[in-house]
Amino acid sequence: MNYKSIFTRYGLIIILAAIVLISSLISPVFLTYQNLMNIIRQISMIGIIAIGATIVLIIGGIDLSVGSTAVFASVFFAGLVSYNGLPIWLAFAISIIAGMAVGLFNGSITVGFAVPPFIVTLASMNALRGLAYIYTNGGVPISKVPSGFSWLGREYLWFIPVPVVIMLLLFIIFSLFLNYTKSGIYLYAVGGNEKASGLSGINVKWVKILAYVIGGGLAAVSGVILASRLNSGQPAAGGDLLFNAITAAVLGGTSLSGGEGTLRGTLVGAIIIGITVNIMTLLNVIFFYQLVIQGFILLAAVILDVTMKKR
Amino acid sequence: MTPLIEFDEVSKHFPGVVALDKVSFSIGKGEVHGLVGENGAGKSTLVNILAGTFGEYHGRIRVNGEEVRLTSFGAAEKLGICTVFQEPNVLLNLDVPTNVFLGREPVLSGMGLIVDKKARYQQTEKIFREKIKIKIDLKKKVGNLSISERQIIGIVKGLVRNASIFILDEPTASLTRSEISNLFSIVKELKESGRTIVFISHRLNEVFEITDKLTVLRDGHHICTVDTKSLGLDELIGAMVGKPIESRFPRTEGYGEKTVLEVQDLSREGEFENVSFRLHAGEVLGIAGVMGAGRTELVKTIFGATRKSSGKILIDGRETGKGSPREAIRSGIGLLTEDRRNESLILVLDVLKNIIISKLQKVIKYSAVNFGMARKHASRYLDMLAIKTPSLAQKVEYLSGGNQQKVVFSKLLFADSKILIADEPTKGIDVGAKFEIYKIIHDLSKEGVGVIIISSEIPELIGLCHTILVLHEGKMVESLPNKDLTQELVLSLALGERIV
Repeated sequence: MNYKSIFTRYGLIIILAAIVLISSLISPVFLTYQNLMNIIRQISMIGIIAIGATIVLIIGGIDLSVGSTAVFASVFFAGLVSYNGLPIWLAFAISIIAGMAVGLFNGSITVGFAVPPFIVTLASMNALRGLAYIYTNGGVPISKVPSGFSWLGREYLWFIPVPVVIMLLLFIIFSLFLNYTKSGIYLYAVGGNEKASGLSGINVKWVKILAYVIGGGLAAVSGVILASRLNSGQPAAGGDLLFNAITAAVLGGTSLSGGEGTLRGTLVGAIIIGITVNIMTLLNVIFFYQLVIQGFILLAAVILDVTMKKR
Repeated sequence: MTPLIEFDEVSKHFPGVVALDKVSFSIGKGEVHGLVGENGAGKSTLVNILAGTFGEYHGRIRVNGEEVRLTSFGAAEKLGICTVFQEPNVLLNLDVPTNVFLGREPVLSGMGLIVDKKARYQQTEKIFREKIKIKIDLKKKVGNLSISERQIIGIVKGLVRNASIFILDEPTASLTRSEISNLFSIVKELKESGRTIVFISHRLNEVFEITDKLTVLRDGHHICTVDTKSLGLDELIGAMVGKPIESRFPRTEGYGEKTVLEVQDLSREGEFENVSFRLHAGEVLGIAGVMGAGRTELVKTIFGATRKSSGKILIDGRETGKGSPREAIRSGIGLLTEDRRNESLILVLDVLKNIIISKLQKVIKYSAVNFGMARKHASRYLDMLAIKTPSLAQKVEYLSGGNQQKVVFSKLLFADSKILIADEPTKGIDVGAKFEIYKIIHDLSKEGVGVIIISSEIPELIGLCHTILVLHEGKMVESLPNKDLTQELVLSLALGERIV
């Protein structure tokens, strides 16, 4: 147990430090201001979506639709601004509500019909991707957007990119939520033992649905930032979001069997992914090879999680 | 004569713990050898070494005078050792013959790959008819059979493999009386056919009934191996605990007049019918009955975990609504479930969170949990109930059974339970911790908490309760004030042989 907790607390930081060190040695560009800004902006989208993925994993569920939810939210956001002429803040709010509605759907079906979340979210993953194409008339990018649309994705607050500020705020808010609020503690309890939680007076169904709603909402936030970065709504973008979100959570020590996981770990996981992708790109590793390497990183993380559990 | 199994300074170390420390003793051929000791004494460790499930160990084990290494399940099986665990290793989705012959299926002659299902069935049937003498529907999936029947299948598996040593690890823990007597006649049958049985049990009267020899372990050490007949109960308990234990049950006194819980004609279809009783403040009410009597089902319904079909439940004179655990907890009912690990505790969470989880609102300030306040509450329970844990941040998973049970009590106390329902509160708990739990129950009742206890150990009920309610097949047989009650009387009522 101690070994494991020491590992999850410091081992990951050591790995991160090693990656940073090696990266800075093999690429002169790595530590430049411009590149670092690139990395953290990249991380912000993974990080935000991974907060939701972590919370769903904590209750012992899984949400495979977070990537598609993000993509759908991104085109919906662009569409509301471009097609309907809504002000950006309103479109932002509506998109997030739409993401939460997706979560509500996933959660309600899972809980109401006792369908495994893997199947429910696999179904909505596919459906949402389809909807994103339908909404954009067959995949035509929505690019007629007003100036200011890209503020969320590309601008800076003082010297920190806006999406990074949003991500950090969300990490703080949800860390507090998970550790100190009733609902937060219930999420861990339900993930740890549903039956005992029910007999302890916890409304298990509500708690589970809540996790999916949060997951959907955060996926939508990430999607809006994606659209803003691209300065358009593109249904073909964001294909790597689901994979990276789950990998970040698992790298960060979130248990796949529920009840365990921290956002601090997930954040470090997201940073590791961001840096690995970045250094591979700097080294001109072809995108397809990057996918293979990333696949093995996820596997290694899971194997580590499983072997640590056995101790 | 060389003994059948000889342990020579056998030790097993786990990180930070010496589970078994240079244990030496021997088991003779054809005897029923009891293995007793408190939880953590090293019984399970020894069993797992014999079963070959632990892999490496220190020291030597000789079977028939020859040194062997029991480092895998297969190695143990080859030596004729068959281990039947409390939850037997059977495949629930398959029928009986498939389970019995798993891994050594008879094949059709001349067609090496095709299983001879008929032969398999007939041979299984024959063993059951000749050796076991108990009727089991062999075509049923094992998942639909009782624990007792699954254990018997475990034994039959051993017979098919020509095992000569049977290790029964706490086989009676969840068996009814008639199932236990079935099991015992099988044990005798095995003994008569020259096989050796190692019998592990917490229930000392059973150990006295069935074993020829006894080995007592304590804290990983071998204390003694003696003829069962040469030892008295008190001596045995003394050897297990290492110190003389205090008077068995705290004395019960009177109770208050206020009715805290009233149940009127409560029924739940297929489980129990027309149960009525009153529980007063400070009263300890026991529910006796054998398996299938509907005891657990009754308290689950009172707690709101299942819906009643008819009848009324009144708490402090007010009738409850549809019922849910939430509502029950809010109105002051606390339930300690029989299945501690799956229903009462959240093993991956720490001690603190387990204690506060069912009444978080008590420590909420400005919509956040005030952990300082929570720790203060919880530490009080650690002292009060003498819970042994390195800290409040320890996962309950790593506590011993007795300490886990005390965490459950803390949780119910933290929730300000005015009515405490304890379903088999001392199941799987060492002798020492049992008395501490009796004391907790006693103290609670003195403070005016109404307590309901379900227990399969009738002496426990007679020792603790003011009133004993007897259920038989879902019906209430009797509500008896605990005055001049004998174990025999309560038992015969519970078995439905009414003799009042």
